[in-house]
Amino acid sequence: MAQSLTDKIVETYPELAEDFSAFHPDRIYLRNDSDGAGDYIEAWNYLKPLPAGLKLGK
Amino acid sequence: MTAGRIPSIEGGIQPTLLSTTGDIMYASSASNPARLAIGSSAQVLTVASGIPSWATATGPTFNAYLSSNQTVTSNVITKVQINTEEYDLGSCYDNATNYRFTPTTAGIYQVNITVQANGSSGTTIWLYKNGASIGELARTAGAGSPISGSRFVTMNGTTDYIEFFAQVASGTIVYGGQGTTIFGAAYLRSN
Repeated sequence: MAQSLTDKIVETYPELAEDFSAFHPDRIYLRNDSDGAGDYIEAWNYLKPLPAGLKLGK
Repeated sequence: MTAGRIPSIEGGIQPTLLSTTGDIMYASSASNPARLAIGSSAQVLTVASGIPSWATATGPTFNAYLSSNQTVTSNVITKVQINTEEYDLGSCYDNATNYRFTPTTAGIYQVNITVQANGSSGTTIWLYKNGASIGELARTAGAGSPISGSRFVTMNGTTDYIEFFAQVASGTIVYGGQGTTIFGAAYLRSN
């Protein structure tokens, strides 16, 4: 089974596994518009960089 | 003079101007009387283009629900595909493609949302207007219990639209079924 976007982020930054407040439009903004494009990162405002292999936007 | 008719005087009101019970007389210009035929049941008198007219008393209103479970990714703010309408007065809710409400009457609307999901770390309701979040309506700490949120939203009656997004923490299911996950909005008044 393919790894979800959230799993990929938590794999890089395990401290986010229980920090649900981090997944917020003002911080790590993960979004799905139910338009077939799937999950994507709308915004990344975290103290550490975007995990390797991930990008902003659809 | 004929009983029940308005007296005619030269340059004045024609006695046959009003023809039906409930007709209303108004000035179509400074000195020209005109007839406004009686409206339909429950219509209200309004003004459009500077003259009185009858209009439907209320604006677009809908209520719809998610028919079956929707799978989501934990922590991803996901548009809920509310696909089954209970009613859609004004046909302004898209329940097939974009799952959005685009009312054709400008004004203030009350938006109500209820969601139930399996997020063991909580579920959050987000309301979006024109593709961007306008706020978190409600959040629950655990799984199972439904949560509801409500907000008054101003809509321009042409391009503005609203959508319902949910964020499930440590869970992957937004529950479907009538009375479970619901999205609705009702026109309140002009602004």
